[in-house]
Amino acid sequence: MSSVSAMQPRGGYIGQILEVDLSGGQVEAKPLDPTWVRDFVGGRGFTSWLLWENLAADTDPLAPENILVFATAPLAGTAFPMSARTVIAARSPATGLIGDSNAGSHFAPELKQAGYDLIVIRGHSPKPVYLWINNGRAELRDASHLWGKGVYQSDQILRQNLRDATIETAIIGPAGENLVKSACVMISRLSTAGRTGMGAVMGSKRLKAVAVRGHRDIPIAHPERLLQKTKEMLELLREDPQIEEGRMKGTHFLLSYFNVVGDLPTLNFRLGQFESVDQISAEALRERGRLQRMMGCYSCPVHCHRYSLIEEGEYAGTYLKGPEFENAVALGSQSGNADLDLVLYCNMLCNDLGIDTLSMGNFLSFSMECYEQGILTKADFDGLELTWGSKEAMIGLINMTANRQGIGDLLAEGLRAAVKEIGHGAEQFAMEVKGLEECSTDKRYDYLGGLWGFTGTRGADHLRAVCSHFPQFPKEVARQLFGTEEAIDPQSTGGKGPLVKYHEDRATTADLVGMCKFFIWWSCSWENLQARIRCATEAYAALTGFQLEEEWWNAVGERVFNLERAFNVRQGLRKRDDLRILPRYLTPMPEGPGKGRAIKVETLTALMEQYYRARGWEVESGIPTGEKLRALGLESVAEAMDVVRETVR
Amino acid sequence: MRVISLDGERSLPEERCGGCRLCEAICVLVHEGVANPKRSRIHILSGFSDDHHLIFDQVLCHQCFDQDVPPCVQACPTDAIYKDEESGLWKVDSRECVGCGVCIEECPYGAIFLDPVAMVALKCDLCGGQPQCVEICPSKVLALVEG
Repeated sequence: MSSVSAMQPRGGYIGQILEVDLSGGQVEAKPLDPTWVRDFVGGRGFTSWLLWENLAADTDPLAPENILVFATAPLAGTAFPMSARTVIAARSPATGLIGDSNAGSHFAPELKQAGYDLIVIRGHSPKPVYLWINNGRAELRDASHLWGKGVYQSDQILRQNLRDATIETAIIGPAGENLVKSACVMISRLSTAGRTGMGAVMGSKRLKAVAVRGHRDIPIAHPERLLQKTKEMLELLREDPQIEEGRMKGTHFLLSYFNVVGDLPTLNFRLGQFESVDQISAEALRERGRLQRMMGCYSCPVHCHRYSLIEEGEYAGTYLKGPEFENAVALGSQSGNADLDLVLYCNMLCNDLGIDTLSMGNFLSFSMECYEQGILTKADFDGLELTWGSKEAMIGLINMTANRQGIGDLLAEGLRAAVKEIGHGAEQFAMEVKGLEECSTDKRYDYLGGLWGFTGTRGADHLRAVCSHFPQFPKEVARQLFGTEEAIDPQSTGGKGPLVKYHEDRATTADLVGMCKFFIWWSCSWENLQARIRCATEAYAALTGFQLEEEWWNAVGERVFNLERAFNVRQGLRKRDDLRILPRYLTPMPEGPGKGRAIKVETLTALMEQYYRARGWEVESGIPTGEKLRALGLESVAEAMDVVRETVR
Repeated sequence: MRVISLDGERSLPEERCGGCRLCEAICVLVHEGVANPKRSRIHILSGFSDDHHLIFDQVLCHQCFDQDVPPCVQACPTDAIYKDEESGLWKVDSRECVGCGVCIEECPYGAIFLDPVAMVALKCDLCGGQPQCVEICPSKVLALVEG
């Protein structure tokens, strides 16, 4: 089934799961099943398997039966660069599909040092609680004093209560408590697990926070080899100019680039260029003295996170990590806002209230366009004028949504549900894929985004495939891997199915070993990128003592991606859902470098079928074939899909 | 004599400590062969100032070259901190150390730590002359200079 020969890893894993039953107020440690390590590696592999095994098709995402999982990955806590991601997962209240969100910071290393690879949380607590994990001991504590408070203040109080400023925390804000379906989880005040509404699941369980501290060893099978691989990776990163750009400007550097090529979502995706982009760019952040310092997640040399602080003027006292590219789009160009300080303030406000900036940016720009078109009026917004970029509108609507006041109560259910209530053609302005509000690229731009934009297992997603804009494959490699050189031409439909599959599998394994997506995305050269993936594979082997072949990386990613697809199919996802095109994307881009580009039904259908074929899924239904799933070692999943296939027929 | 200096607060954001703790991670990997930043001989302390500045302080042993007998050495009840004649550095003999923590209390820089696993004092030994933290620091905040 797997190329991993040894069953028990000799490093990287703690070997313990913390099981928390909130209904009964119980915590219990259980051993980690070594077959999970062999088959799913860690992180998103563990969470997707746990969701598949523990949930039924009719599990209500906000019911006690949904599970909430915090997962670390094997490389987290080691010196190997870019490896400290934490995954938080549950069935998503936003989409009903698989839900997971991923954050950096220092949380995962601390959780492992506290004694656990995973936390699995079940049930609902009768009263607000927080989970305190202190070096192998875990307990539920009263969180009544934190309930209703913002993330920033809660974090501060929690550190005071526990008399330790060095703990790591995961906290929800009022949006999560109010079951806003796009609520996020904030990690140690500044980092965000933003997407798919994991904050709402945490809120439904009345779990305000998780606080961790620990000082246990994470074993390493071959320390000297891991040191060697760590230095090799640092050198590979140093050599790459795109990493250097990320080091200087963070993800924010993409803003100016996307604007030049005409793929910067502007005014609710009406346009691909924002005339005031220079006012909210990474360069502006630096020039205006808002950038205090660069920040790195644990053991990451890239430091793409930026700590920003406003020390004067209307928004003095605003501090946050960011803005990331996606936030600058969602709260900037997309909403027609050219005021950098307002972007920063709204970003902090979303973080403090615990609502995903991407979904919130879509709520804002959707509302502004509906207001402009007369579908929604001042009265619908309790007296707010929803003009593009309006300060009062932005701050007002963010607060209303997080607190479920007025129309915010409707937006809190997500755009797909909201337009059904609003009617009057509002659906043509709702940017969401499978119920998750759109991420910050325009999928009309090329045939890569025009495919991966609709194949991700979480709905709208910029992180499942990460392949537009940076063609990294030499022609001969494209021919070899995807059967045609056309694959690397973004404006040709040829080879896109195999290419997107390749990217998705490769990106999945980053989430399994705990690595940041930038390690497989930000690169100027194919050789450098291949060397990085080889190096990470060898680092994982040095850490665990496993013998791994080079093909291991994509193979294990493919297994997990298929598992997630099967989860979604079990929830009722079908080919028609993959082919649902947003009205805006059917409309040609009106101006700019992308002028005239639109998504056509027949083109997307052809691309999708090409993709299904590359994946070994049924072309008629998009359901993974039993043959494919069995070849991937997913026997029980194959049996479940056989049943679904019978029902469909 | 060469020691690790901290370049302190520099003006350009990318030249300042990014708080990634790669130095901690590499220190433990080299010295203990495990992953556990709590056993590092260098620590990055982070926190917010009252006016919301984010601060990262790098804390490690300075070797107190300006003193004949550093306070930690004076305080140690078991004479576990000794001068290594070859390198001229004050080092901890972990076989003699009883983990009482007196040296930690006496160090004016807070630069000696208690190893929470082995329960002995930990302090920087400059990796025998080629400090790994200096080599890998992405912002080059740490530097090896003549002490």
